[in-house]
Amino acid sequence: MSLSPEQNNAIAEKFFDSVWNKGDFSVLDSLIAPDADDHSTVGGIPKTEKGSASFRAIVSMFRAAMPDIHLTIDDEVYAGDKVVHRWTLKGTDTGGVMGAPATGKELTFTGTTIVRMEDGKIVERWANVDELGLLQQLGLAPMPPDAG
Amino acid sequence: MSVETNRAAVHGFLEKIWSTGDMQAVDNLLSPEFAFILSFMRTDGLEEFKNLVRANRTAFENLTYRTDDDNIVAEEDKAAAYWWMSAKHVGTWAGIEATQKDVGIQGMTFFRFRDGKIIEARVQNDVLGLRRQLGAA
Repeated sequence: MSLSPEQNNAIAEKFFDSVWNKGDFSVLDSLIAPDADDHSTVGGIPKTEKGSASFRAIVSMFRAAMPDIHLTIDDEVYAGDKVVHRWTLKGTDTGGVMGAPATGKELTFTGTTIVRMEDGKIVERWANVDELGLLQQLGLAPMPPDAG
Repeated sequence: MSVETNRAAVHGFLEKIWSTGDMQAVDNLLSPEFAFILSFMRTDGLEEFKNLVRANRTAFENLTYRTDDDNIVAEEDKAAAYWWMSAKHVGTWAGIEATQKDVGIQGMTFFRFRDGKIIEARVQNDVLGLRRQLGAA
């Protein structure tokens, strides 16, 4: 059984809202297939891990560091078995992000996520995040000169 | 605009414009109000965008962006593509002098279409990874 792209998008939107904005991790088990391929880039190194563990760890870290964190989906495109979201995460760094000391600053960073859905579950995820922008806000990376 | 012409425009954007410097394709595929938006900069209009493409293709030799239909998600007025970039760093970029290093990053671009042309492309790419490969982060 495969759902329509609209149905996939609705599931994906609810999933990300539940996890990021409500801290409801039960959906990680119910909506991510255990052998799902999770592709992300951390520290500029692409990696692929199975299941929900990687995503769970990232959300846990950010929610602990920024208790008021909020995800907003800025735009979406969906077709076939894929849903793409362009999003913004915003929150106050009271706990220290990615092991860095807490800055107390309001942090805002963007990303784009693609999920591939099968029978209403996420079976593959690709996430690209503006890591450099986040590090710059934390004072851990230089601001770039105006260039491409 | 149809899903198929949108897909073709996404291919043209990455494979013709960025990967071969085809400025005619810029005029054919992009709206005159085209905005190219990254997290740290943007271009507005075709001339600014052409200048950016030229500048990047000068700093990076054999700049190539690869995607395929499996990695393009397209609707009637929007599309998104996951792509892989490879190049050799032969000129100054973002204040970093030529390293002669071979680099490669991944990213996603979110496209909006109007009146048969691309009116906006928003890029989420691994600039951190690129700077690290160049030894600058």
